[in-house]
Amino acid sequence: MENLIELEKNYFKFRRDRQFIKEFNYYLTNYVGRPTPLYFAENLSRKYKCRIYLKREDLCHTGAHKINNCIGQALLAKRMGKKRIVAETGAGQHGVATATACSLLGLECVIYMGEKDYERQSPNQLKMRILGAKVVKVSSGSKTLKDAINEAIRDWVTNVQITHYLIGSVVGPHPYPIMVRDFQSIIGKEVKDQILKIEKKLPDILIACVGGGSNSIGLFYPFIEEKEVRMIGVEGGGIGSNPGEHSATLNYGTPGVLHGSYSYLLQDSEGQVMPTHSVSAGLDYPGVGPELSYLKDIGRIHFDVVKDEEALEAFFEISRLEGIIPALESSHALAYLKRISHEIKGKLIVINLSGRGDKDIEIIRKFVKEGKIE
Amino acid sequence: MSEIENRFKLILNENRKAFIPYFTAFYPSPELFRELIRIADRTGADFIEIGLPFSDPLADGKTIQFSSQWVLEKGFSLSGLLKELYYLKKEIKASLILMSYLNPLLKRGIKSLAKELKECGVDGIVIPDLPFEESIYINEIFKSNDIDLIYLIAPTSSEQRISQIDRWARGFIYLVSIIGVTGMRENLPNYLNEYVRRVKNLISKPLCIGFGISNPNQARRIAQISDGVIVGSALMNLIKENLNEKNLLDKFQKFIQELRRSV
Repeated sequence: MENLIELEKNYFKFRRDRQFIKEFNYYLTNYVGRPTPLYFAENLSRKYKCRIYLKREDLCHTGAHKINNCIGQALLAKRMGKKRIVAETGAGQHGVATATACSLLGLECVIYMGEKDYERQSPNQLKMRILGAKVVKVSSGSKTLKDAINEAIRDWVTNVQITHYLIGSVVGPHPYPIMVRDFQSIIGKEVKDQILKIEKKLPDILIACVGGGSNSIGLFYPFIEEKEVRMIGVEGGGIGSNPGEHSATLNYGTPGVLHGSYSYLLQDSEGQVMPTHSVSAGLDYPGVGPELSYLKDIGRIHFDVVKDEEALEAFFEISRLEGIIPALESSHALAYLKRISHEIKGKLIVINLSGRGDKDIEIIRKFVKEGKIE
Repeated sequence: MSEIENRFKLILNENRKAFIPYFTAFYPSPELFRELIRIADRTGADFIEIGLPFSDPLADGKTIQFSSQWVLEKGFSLSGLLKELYYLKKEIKASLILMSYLNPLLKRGIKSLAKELKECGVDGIVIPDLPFEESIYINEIFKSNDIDLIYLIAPTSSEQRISQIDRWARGFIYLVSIIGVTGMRENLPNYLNEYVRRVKNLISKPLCIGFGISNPNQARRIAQISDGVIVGSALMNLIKENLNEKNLLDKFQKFIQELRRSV
């Protein structure tokens, strides 16, 4: 608890510190490559008879939005005098982004990765090692993201004096959910500026995928007060709605406590956390950010599910229509277009393309081999 | 005064130290679990801590992670455990303390659970992932059912926090010996004596020490500086290592007797 109090104190201090903000923005511009383009997807728009913009977070350095938060937290860790970073990773995107920020800022880096993810996202674990990080395979529990978080937290509480835990999503104990949200809300801020400049009005609909919720709240947060903007969060529907077949926490979960926050949770009648499934490792998490849970309860954001096969279909659709290979996570958000195609004619839509799909090539190869896709 | 506080008064009057073994509920099987508790009670355990298995035991090291997962895979229900404790309590002298992560308790409903626990003869509860800041409401519910919410203090806890915890604590205070999770350690940390002295100056409740205590020698050293010794992983590990041995219960009895004597 003392470490969280220390972190809260430091974060609240530095988020108002001019020098800190200047340095953060410097790296976002010159290292990450921000602002990322808001791209008018002409072919997709023609197909769905509306105006679709893609927020190109896939063009960030390291290939996903995760780096925004990593730069922010790594800079904070340095100011707090921490020499060592631990982090969890599911798809490997957060792990790669953390390893990258650590190389840049000269911090020791240890990444925990579930054994199941280690196998299915092998290019990313290799990248982390190239970047000088130590990658630890986690074989406890369900061998995925939640267990990697458990192990990262255990490491953190053991080595707390020299270590910062760089959590990758808007989950975990306070102040993590608000800190990660703040670092990621650069996405929504840019979208707001860009769309007003190009279209001279706010979007009708925002769509983002939701695992823990960092890319979605990053996009949504600056629009929360804009009541006329509809927001849709898309969860991993996996292969069905039975327990263990999906990772759709906000759709099928009930309130509970995991990793230090009270939020929706996939759990059984005994309060044990349930196994999850999603074709996309980055959505494969039984919890979700507490702020998103609240925004669901007050009805501000609508949450729905997209199944594995729908996401795969969208993966190919965007690749072939726009020449952009999206991450399987982001493909869930893109797949939602088809679902609402009957009601979006003429609308202005922004979809967060949170990451690129290179890391998913092995999964796609498997599906091709099994004859599930052409 | 609560049941735990009464017992501590007697223990301290007799100039003894409390011995508190930990067991993961129903590990390695409900039948053996019952036997292990009986042995622990006969050996003179003052309190017995029973851990509710949880899918994500954040404060636990490999050994208790293993025993928890083992029990969950075989199928575990809190109702089943409550029933077991109800009957066990009638035949043992030791006071029962439940250890559980917060979520299974929330799922059951804290208010109804507190009543059920008291009916089963549980006198105290340890919730390792419930921070002091969030604990007051839950503390009141347990208190009104005459169950002590037992707080943990870690080497990283500030003096201000320790004093605050002492004001709300009932029963005893659980001092975490090391920075980190449960599990056996070759050596106890060097700073332990000074750390315990610092904490003792700030608190009025009995102080029991757990985490990392692996053998009778360490238990003896801990007993010298505290009011009670909690041993968990070392016991669970002995059970794990001897799962297929016919003399599991004999070995267990020998080990727990040594621990008891050293305390």
